Amino acid sequence: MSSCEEIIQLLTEYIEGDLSAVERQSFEAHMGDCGPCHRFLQTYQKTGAMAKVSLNCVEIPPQMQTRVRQFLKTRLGLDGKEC
Amino acid sequence: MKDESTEEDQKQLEERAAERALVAQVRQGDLSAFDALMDRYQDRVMRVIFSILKDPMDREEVTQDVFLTLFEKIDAFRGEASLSTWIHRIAVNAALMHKRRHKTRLAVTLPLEEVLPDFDDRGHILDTVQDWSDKADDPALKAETQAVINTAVERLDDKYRTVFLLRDVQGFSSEETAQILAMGVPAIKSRLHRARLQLRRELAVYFEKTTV
Repeated sequence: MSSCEEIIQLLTEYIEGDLSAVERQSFEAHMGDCGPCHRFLQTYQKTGAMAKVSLNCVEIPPQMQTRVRQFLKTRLGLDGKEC
Repeated sequence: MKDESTEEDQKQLEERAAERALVAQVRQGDLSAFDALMDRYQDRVMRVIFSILKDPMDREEVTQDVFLTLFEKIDAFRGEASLSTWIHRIAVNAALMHKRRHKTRLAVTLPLEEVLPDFDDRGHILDTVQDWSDKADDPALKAETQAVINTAVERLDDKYRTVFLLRDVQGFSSEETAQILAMGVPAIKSRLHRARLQLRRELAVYFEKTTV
């Protein structure tokens, strides 16, 4: 494993922890020596992290949760049973 | 380490046993057991549906349909996968089907050569690769950055988008994602890589144009 092209193909395997110890060492050695690949990895990882924050910002409206429950209670007869 | 993994295994076994008991009760038509099932899964299922569908009415409609389906089709749960996997599979499929029936957006799959850097004959990167990860944290750009990433995710083809949403946004493992989507783990990772490359590219274009 020595070329940037090979390294870029392995980004997900690296992040997922799927590389063997030898492969990981070789990957990290390349990252240490190659500025462009290192920056590519940084931004590749950042992308997932940003999406996680951005897309999880959506709040589930409590009123919607209540309406869903009420709909199901009515459809399934749950509202006849009190805990 | 061994003790921790044994404890974890034990916890999983207990969890599975509790699930089986709950499913058995629901199968007998026990509605309070179904209520308990909803308590356990409603929030997470809604988050998955919300990540796939944007319209509030669609989200609500599909959520209702999913839980109704769960109750009506509980006999179809065979216990090969976990209950969580089975429920999330129903939710993902329902959301995707709804999306396809009401298709309003056009997915764009950027060609591979556009999402990868240029390489020379020996496979070395030719381009100048910018590290915009610091810019991404700039509070002045927060609202705009969120809009860019939301749009970029929306533009992904469903096959990449769904994997990305489950894995990177909702935090399911690759194995769980594979089970939910009834695919092999290598295929999941391949699609995940493709999604990440495209999103990274879209963000790179945005940040390269942005000066702070």
